Amino acid sequence: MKYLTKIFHFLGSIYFAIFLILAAAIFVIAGTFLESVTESHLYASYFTYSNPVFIVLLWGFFVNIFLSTLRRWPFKIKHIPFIITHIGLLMILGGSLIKSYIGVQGSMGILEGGGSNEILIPNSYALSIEKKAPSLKALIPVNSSFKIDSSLPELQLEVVGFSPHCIETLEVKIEGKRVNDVSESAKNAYLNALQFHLVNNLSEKTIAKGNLLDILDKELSFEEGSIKPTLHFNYSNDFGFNNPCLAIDLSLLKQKKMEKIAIPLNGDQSLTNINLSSPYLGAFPYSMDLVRSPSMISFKDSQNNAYLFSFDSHGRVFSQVLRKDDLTSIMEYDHGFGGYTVQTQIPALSKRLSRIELEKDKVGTISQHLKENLTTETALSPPLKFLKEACEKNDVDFENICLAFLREWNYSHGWLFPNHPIQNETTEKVISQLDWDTLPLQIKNGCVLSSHLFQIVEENLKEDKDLIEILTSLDWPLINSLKNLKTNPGVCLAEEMNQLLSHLTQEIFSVSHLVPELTRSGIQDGRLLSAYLRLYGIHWNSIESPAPQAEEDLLIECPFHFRHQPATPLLKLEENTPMISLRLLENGEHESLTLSFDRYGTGLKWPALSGKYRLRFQPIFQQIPYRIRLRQARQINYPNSSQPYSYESDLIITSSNTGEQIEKTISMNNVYETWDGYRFYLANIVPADEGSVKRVQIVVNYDPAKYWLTYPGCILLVLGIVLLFWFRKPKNKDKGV
Amino acid sequence: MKILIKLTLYPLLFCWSCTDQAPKMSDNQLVWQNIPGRDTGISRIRPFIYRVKAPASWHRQFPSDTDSIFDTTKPLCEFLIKENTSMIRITIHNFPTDEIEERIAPASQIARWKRQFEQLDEISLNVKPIAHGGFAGLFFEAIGTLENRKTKVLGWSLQLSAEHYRNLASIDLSTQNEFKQLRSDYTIKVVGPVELVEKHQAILMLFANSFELIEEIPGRL
Repeated sequence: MKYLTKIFHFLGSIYFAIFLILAAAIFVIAGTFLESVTESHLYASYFTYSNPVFIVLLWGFFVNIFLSTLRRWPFKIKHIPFIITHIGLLMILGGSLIKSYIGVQGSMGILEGGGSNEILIPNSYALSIEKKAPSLKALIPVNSSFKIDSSLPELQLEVVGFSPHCIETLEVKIEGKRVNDVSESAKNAYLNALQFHLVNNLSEKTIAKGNLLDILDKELSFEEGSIKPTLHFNYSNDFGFNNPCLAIDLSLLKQKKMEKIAIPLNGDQSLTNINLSSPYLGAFPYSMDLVRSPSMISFKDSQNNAYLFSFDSHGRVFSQVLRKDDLTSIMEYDHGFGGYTVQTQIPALSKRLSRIELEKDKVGTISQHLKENLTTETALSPPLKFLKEACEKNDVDFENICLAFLREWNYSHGWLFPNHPIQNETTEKVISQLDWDTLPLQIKNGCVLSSHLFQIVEENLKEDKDLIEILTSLDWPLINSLKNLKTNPGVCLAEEMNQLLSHLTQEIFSVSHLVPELTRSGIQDGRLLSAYLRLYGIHWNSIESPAPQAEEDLLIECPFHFRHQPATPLLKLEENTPMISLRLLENGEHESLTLSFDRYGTGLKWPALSGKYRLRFQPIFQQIPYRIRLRQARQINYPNSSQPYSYESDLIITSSNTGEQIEKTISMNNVYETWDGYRFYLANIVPADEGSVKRVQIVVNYDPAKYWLTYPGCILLVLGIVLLFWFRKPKNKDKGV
Repeated sequence: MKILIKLTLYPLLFCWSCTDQAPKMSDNQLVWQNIPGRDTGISRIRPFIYRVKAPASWHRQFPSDTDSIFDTTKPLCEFLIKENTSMIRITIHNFPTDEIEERIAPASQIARWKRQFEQLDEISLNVKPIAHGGFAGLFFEAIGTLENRKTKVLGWSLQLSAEHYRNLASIDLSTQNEFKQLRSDYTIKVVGPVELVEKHQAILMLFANSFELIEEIPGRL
């Protein structure tokens, strides 16, 4: 009895209280230190606030306060403030202890327009199981020892393994060679058996051919010059193809200037031989085509991501990646009970057109478009009207002649058509019958002057001389206006040459009426016509290409799943992905299944036992007696700024018990509390921009003792403190100094 | 000491937490009104799909029960605000589709509204992105000449978010038409004299902002 009395007095003493305060302070300091070192609140919490020893400390405080009150027995009037204060403290502590045992804190993620009555309990584990037939759903908690406390009828579940952290990799059921460098492997596969054909554009005859690999970065000579091709494969694992092309350095014997050509290997302009160095002069007389067997190949990297490549018979390239964090199109079989596939599209390789076929297609479409428009009263520009009259005289199709002439001119690589007969006999016959005498003197002279001047200009441009230098050496009188048009103080840039040459053409025609009629002898009609067309900006390149026809794509479906490997847990516990291995048994059928933790419980459920069940390893979701519907969420910025001032959400809160519905706006400093202890806070809104449907995270806190224990305890505590000071005995005023 | 404590405590007893939520202007004047979707063309049944908050003073017009509004050029509902001889007309349309790719982009709706003006005051033109209730799209505001009169147009063109569109596909609904209606894009268009529209603009914005599906959109289970 004596010992019991001693214990009683000790537990209610100031010494025990000081010990408890010091112990709690050590826990708090340790928690702060651990959190700053590990950057993990969870880590700190496991060792401090959530630790059973800390809970024991709270009980210690409760006992100390209770017994210190009882030690004042028998109570007197003067003890009232003390007792009230201590009752207040006991009520607050009691409320905290009750909340720690039966209170709830969780969060719900809601998309605008949607709703929920379930909160996600953090740091909890459960198995969500769904049975196909008869339809059944269950959420089975997994306790802290990773045992399952209950199961479904007929289904036996056993946890056979657990890891606090795992590495998850994607397994796509597609064969693929495992390689270290996907880009290099794909490039080698592409070049394998890839042939080139160097073609004369006008005669469409092949003047050289062979394996592209044999001539890459080497010079190949032919009758009129040489080429040196370089392949820019430009593939990266993260971004796929980035403008892959075959670059060609072209040297022509009749000019000094080295020309540059690019052949894009994908996109709308694929296979077009694009003149990079002198686009203002049109295309070159030669084009390179690529030929190979169409093929599809796949590779896998060390992360097991799958990379699909397809190469069509004309050398185009296409790629698609199937990466764990980038599965954009997932299909489910039988609502997921049959598994999942990732869908991807690749071009139907056998149906892609070659460069020549595309060009013929373009010519046909433009011709058809011209025919349709010329049936109405369309005002043709004067040079086209001039050509049309000649076509009508010869009873030939104007559209075909016009396009044939423009095409041949484009491939002659000159500002004007070269001074030689047109290769196409029909076109030459029509154009040689153009009646120049029907044209005004200014136009006739302009065509002749342009023919002569541009003969010199073109020759010098092909010797790599600058246009302004050329015109200066010719004492061109209107050179200052051309200089004013230039954007670059130095040499004329290729991008501005078209504008400069067009302006020069305009200048020639503007002064051509000042001279007497010039003779056209020695100048081919085709060249004169091209000068007339240049005056009105008409050239093959000025014709808008028709939109490329939509090409057929193949849809490929690849079944996939995830593979999990245990890994060393991270110090920041929040970033760990736990893994659980299960054994399922039903009616003699058994299966082992490994699942990684789905942190938000929104991911895929995985099939098991031949599609009879679907499972997901996720947190516990607990229902609350309120349904929250999110109408709108918004970020409010400071005026004239993109800095957020506040976040708000408009909710409709419906009580499941009473059916009562209220509309409420919650914001950063404006929470909503229900009468029975539920509190709703707005935690997060993503994305913040106005034009997107937003998802909000609402933290829900349930404190059952708040209104009847904690808050009244606070009131009593304050009242007790006030009374303690109120009834404090004044100091004895009679005592001497 | 006692006086000091009293002077400190008594005021505290009468302090309430200040709310930083400003009372919504005219919110109490608005009442929920249900708006039906379209019929199938064969049956005249129009399921109630939407709801909106509108003042009771606005005159509401539904198409006749005997007429089919399967044609999307016909509105689901109209509201009229009459003041003396002037009137604001508010029309609500929806555009059901079978596939997500068939949907008309909000920008196309805006472009169509712009083309309806005989003359458009470019300075008054305001187009901005908006989202609420699971829908996202564009808000349009412009002043111009319509039928030789100076008119202000406010327009909202919104589409259901892709996630909701997919989620609805996995839910069994009572009828195929209801399913289509729930996934439809919708537009709200306000046309009226400039002064009258500007006078009621705040309420009109609240009206459009309140437009939503009656039932919450189910999430994926």
